[in-house]
Amino acid sequence: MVKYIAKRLLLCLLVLFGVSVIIYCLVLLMPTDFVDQKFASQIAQGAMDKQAIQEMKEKYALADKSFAGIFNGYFNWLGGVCTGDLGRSFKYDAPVTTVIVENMGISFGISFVALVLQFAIAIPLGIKAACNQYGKTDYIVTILTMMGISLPTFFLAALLVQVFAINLGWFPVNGLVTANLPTDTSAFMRFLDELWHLVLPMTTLVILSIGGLMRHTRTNMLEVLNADYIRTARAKGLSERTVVYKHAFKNTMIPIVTMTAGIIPSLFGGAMITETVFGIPGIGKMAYDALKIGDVPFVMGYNMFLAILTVLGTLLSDLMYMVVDPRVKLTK
Amino acid sequence: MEKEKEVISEDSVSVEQCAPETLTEETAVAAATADAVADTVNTEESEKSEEGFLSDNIRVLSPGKLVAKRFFRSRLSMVGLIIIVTLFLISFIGPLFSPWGEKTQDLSGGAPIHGVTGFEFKAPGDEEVISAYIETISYPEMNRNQTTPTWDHWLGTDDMGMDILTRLMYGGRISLTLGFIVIILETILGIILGGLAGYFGKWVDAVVMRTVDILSCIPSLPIMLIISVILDSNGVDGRYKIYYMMVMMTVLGWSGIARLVRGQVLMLREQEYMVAADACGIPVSQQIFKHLVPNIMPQLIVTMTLGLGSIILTEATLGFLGLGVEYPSASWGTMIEAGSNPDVLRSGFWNMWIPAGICIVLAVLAFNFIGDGLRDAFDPKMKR
Amino acid sequence: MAENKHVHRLSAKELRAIAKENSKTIKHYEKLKKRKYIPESEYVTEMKDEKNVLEVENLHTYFFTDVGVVKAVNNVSFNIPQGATVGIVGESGCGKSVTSLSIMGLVQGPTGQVVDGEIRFKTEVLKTDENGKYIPVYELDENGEKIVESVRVDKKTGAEIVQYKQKRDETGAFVFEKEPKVYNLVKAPKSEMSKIRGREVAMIFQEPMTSLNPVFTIGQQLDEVYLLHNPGVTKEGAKARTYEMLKLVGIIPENVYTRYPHELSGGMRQRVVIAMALTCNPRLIIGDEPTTALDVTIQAQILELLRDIKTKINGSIVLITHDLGVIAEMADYVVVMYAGKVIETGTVMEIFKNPLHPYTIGLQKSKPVINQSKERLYSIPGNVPNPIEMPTHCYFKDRCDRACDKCSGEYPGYVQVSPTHKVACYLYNEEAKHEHE
Repeated sequence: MVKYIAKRLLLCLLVLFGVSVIIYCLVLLMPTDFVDQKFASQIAQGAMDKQAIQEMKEKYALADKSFAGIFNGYFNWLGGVCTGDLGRSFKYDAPVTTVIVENMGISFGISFVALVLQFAIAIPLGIKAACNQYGKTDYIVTILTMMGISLPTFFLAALLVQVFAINLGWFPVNGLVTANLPTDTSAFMRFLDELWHLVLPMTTLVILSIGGLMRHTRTNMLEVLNADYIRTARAKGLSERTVVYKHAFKNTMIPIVTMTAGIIPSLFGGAMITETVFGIPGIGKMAYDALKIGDVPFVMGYNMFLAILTVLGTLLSDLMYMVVDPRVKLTK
Repeated sequence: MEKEKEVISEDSVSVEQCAPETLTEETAVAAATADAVADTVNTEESEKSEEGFLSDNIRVLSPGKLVAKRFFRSRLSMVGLIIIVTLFLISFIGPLFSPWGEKTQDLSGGAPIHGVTGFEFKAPGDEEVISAYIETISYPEMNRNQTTPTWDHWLGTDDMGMDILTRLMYGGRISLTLGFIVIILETILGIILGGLAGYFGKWVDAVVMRTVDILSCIPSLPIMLIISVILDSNGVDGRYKIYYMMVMMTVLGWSGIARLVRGQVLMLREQEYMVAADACGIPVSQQIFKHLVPNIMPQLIVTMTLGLGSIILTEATLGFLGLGVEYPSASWGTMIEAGSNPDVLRSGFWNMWIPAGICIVLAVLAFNFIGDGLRDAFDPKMKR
Repeated sequence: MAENKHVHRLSAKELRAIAKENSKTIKHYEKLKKRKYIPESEYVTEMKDEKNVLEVENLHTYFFTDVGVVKAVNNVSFNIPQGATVGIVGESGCGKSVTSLSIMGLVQGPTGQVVDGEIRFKTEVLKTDENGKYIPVYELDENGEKIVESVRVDKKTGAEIVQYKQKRDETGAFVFEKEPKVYNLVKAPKSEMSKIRGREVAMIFQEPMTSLNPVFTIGQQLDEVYLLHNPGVTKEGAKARTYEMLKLVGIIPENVYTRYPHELSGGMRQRVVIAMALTCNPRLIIGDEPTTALDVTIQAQILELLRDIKTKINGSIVLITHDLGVIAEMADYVVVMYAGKVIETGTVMEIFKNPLHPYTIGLQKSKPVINQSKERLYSIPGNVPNPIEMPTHCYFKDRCDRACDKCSGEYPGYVQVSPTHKVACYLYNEEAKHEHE
């Protein structure tokens, strides 16, 4: 077990290394004077001196595009990453690590609540659909699923804003806090206010992700229900309920649980489009704003952060398999 | 070998006659199915010299027809097919009938605006105050932001006075065409690399598969954002930006298909009939291609159809973020960008973004329906 | 490709007509099954012969498929006497498995439906009082008085409620009063069927590798059956029973109780499946090719085991197989099926010593025999006919080497050769015989 995990971790490192090289190479494609342009005003104001800029250029090999320059720059940067230093963001004028850590809470909160809601709705519906294949529930679920998969995030978000925020005025258009909230508002009221702002973004996330999960549950359940051991269970005289919710359910849940384990880390990464449309200051929106103007350190840092989350997700889901599925045992 | 094949193929006909009914329909009857299939297998043993058996008078569906039948029976896939065909027809033929062009502004000026300005004046030395008014009729330069449908503009005009419906058609051309080009390129790249990995194994496999791992860890949206910035800062013409983006999408997107192809090749190599073919001295490469194509086609077609949907989505997302086709050229993504502007939402210019959004949803939905339908149709295990 | 000239490819129109017809028929039968309340009079019947455990009469099980109706079981009748082993033989696809699934009520809908016929099964049901509750059997002391277990006072009425000690069997299961009844399994509601399945009729499936649930331990899966059918049994009681059953099938219980199915070999799993089937002392065990998937030595062990057990629990066995050797070894009576119909039945001696139907004869000839030098093994020419659109004449006619003009007529009726031996063939019809001569 330990050996396996160690092996997997090494592989993860390899993948991360590959990702970093690719992103670094992409950044290299930026013109040499890119940083100069970005900081022209700051230099003019004296907020930044030439030396700092030169350092930055070297780190991202923007100044010296010879092989040696790139090589040195890359390892300089990599060394920083290994010690947890992802550089300093141009846009936020703060260490990238700080920006990420400080803003990922709200993103995680939204995504996590959405995830829980999504599970609570999708799994029962998926099971029901599988049990009444080609029945009414099944058709409804199929269509809902398809809608969820096919709706572009931004379109749904914009639609929700148009209908519920602008036309009906039930929810705020964007932001996380009401602008002119009295200063003596209690913490609880503030929380409620935030929640009120988050209804639409969460709805967006739930609607979008519910389809996939529902389909997953349904397909799995159908497959399981046609298995021989389900016939055995019926032959034992178990009621249809027990057959479905005990014998089939446990088998169905294996892939779902492992999938969930894979999702958890990516919840920290933020929902870029949703957050941007609703103007929620989570990591997704921060990243969008920074990426749009080409904030090189943030670009590198954020993408590495996302890659790490993805790698962790895959690892976690594989490990989860070993925990939940008795058939998967490490004998190698 | 050849002779044996003959027998097998002959048999597969009879498998078709029994198996489809059991396999297609709620196979359910695992037992019955197994029997039905086994039963046809049995026939292999018996000679088939006699004529006029009961078993000859068989109702048969050819495999292709069977798939087609299953596909066409599924209502949703039919709906998908109809939507796609309609979208295609409208996008590619529609503009021929439209009086407007993609970028022509409606300079008819729309409805004239009447203005009345009243004023009083007193002529010098005159006691009487004269009231007068000037009536102005201003003809706006163009007919913009028309939200109510008229015969001229079925879906109104946008803020630059361009006809929305016409732009939707042109946008459809771009969005659909780009989708097809990207998916085809991805597939070609995926087949080549996946095939190489599966066929050569060893280090080739290791290199390709690790690349696949790495690519699947790269977050696509942020990367697209950066690429856009890079293109901008390198002074790439906005009109061509989308093509670069599409190239990047291809480069990032082939990994799924490569994985599929590699898996199939590996699986094929382990099949017993491949071993048999090997034993007959038929070169593996020839066998792989002979068996690979028919084996992988169904899955590939399904993946491609579903992939088309997601590429159209990505294109639209890029457009929404302002990274896609550059205005005033139209694509569905570019058009929907209007929805990102709260002012547009507030002023109720629904026609600027909702129709484009609906087109995207319809296209993606249709591709998903078709893909799902195809998967069910190809998969003999799927119970219908 | 030697394509058949007679092949009839279905047109879209025909397909639609079939689909329409199918959905109509399926709906009809599903509706019948889904009724909330089914009166007992509909499914309680009488046995024709009290010596039988199971009587199958005119059973028709059809599958409504895309290309037409498959009459998988088409007018099948046979009896299973108490304590006997009945073998059902036939080529693959002749409807053996579907027959057994019909008995279990497990034909998978909605395509598969038992369309007609009766399956009468002698069962024992728990008696219910007027409130629908089971009537307990109480433990009696030497004087024949009920033993008082506890007395509590109802808080509302103040009346004393005396709780008598209910009788338990050795595993701790409560004993209730039972009464024998005969059910028509075709019509019985789902709730009754699930009480019979596993307790009165148990089935051993063909695929030991896949018929155990991979995510539950062997112990959990075995305990479950006993707990389900014996109210009041404690977990320990069930476990004891499981241990007993595992020992019976020749497995050391400690080794497998906490194991998962994938950790056992095929033979072991089949034993577990058999143990599962035997847990509740069923009066009928249906073995659907229980040994086909196993290698020969294990086969012999399993058969031996089944025979032993049958005598131990005094049950009947239906053994479905295409292995004539197994039948000869195990069965008392044989039912030969062909293309969904029973073509010959008789005692094992009659079928093996004096096979009458050309198909039965063919089957036996195609069995390898030692010490006999033959160029090649006999095989019955032709295939099983397509199950859709069966002809009206004898299904075996085209493959039969003794077919006569009469055979093109309608399907032959049964000819009673001896009290136990029946065959459906014109060769043994008196008139037909004359014609031949």
